[in-house]
Amino acid sequence: MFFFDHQYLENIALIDRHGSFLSYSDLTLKIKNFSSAFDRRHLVFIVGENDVSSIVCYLSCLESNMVPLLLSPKINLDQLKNLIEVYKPRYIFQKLEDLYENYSLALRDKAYSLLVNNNNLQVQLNSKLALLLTTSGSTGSPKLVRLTKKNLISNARSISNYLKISPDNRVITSLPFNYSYGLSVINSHLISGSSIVLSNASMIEGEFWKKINEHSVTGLSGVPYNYEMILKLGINRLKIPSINTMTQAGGRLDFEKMKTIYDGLKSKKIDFYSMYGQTEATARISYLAPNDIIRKRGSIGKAIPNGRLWIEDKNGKIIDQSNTTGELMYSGENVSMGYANSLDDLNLGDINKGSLRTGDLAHFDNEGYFYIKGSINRFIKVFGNRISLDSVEEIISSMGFECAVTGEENMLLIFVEDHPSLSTDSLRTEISSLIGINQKAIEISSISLLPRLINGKIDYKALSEGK
Amino acid sequence: MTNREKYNKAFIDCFSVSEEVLNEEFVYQCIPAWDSVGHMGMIAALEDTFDIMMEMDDIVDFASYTVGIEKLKNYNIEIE
Repeated sequence: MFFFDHQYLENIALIDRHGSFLSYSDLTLKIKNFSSAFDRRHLVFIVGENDVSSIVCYLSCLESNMVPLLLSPKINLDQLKNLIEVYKPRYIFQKLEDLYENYSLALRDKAYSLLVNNNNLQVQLNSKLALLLTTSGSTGSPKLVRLTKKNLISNARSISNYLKISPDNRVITSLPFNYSYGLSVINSHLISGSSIVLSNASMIEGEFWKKINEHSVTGLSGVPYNYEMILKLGINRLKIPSINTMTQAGGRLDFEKMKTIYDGLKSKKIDFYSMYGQTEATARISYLAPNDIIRKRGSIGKAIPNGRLWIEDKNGKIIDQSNTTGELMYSGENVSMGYANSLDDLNLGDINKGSLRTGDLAHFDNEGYFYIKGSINRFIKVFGNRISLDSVEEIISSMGFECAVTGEENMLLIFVEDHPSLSTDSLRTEISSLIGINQKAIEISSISLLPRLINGKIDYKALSEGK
Repeated sequence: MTNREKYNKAFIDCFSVSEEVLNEEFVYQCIPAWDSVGHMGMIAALEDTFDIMMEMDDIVDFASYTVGIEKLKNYNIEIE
């Protein structure tokens, strides 16, 4: 069975939301049963969460060479319909009762339905393609990352190795299942024969903390925003004696906050790892071990086992001097094959060939630790989601407004030119729903005319200075 | 402003809702704005409004408009 090691078959694999245990052999049986629903290699949309049904469907796809695309149940319905239109999956696994045109019910699994397309859809899938993920903070574009089984196994093994995940470990899900970081937590624990407590509760719900104690959870993961919540809740008031490892990734955590967390967790004998990664590299690229958090302030650390990081200048020449900024490059078996923007792209082979341009600007110090200085592309992180400012501009332009979008951490700043049909409140609600971030993180200002450079492009510098 | 008015204002400002919806059915995740991010914003607004620091248990159990009124009693804030 994919990911499973025979010696761990009697270990507990999953603990569901009712507290019932499923061993690896129970899970194997469920996967075998579920797999019989698939007739031939095709696409499967899984609109799922951290629950047994979604994980069984995901693992069944890997086992039967189906190609799943993982999606959030919070996805906007129009965006989901658009993805169905573009990729024409033979199967859709979801909780919603919505039946799309030409799909009918194939089987039910608890609250979920597996829908199958009645037409004989043809698709050419590259033989290595095993999984599709949206680029983090997807802005509804059909852009997907194409991953292979080798990518998944390699990244899960590396993570298991540097976090020293053993069969005695027990992690709780604290991130969405369709998010590469959340999925990497699941994969790395399955491959290690550990157990996973399935929860969709957020850290601000009492239930989340109760489950940790009830099931003696040992590991916990979070994006910077989760750690800000933990700081808000009060790190010294957390009563989580079973926890021994906590990880942070998905964006930059302010160093002062990181230090407070590190110190607070150290006094509880909890190892704290700071990590860096991208969906384009399955999930993890580098990590900073607990002992280096203070010593290597703000560093993303070193490459994960079996990976390599280096810096290139604008001309693609390798920079071997320390403390010289250039584009951060990564190579490893976890580097995806590339992107897909259309159905035809699913037949593409390995375009990245094991090397990834991260789009981040970085340097390394004289001990080989890497530090990110900025980004080449216009992206911001909002509560762990990577948002492309250009994509947000495209969305607003398609509504017929002239706009410019800038931003800082956890805040999207949108400037729209005055228009008779412009309501900043309803625009904010709409954007919030389309890109799936809380409206608190969106600020919209209407201005009479956007500042422009001589060449007609938006003058972002003037915009941010005008703020 | 009465405490009730202050309490309601925090919800109205944080979640962009009208006063009519503020009743026992106004619960965590009943609208997209009241997710975990919105929750922390609302807690911060209440702490500013009433000049209090809430305990972890009260923050994580603050599951609805009505439950919140009970939680604030722990800080000697009575919402009449």
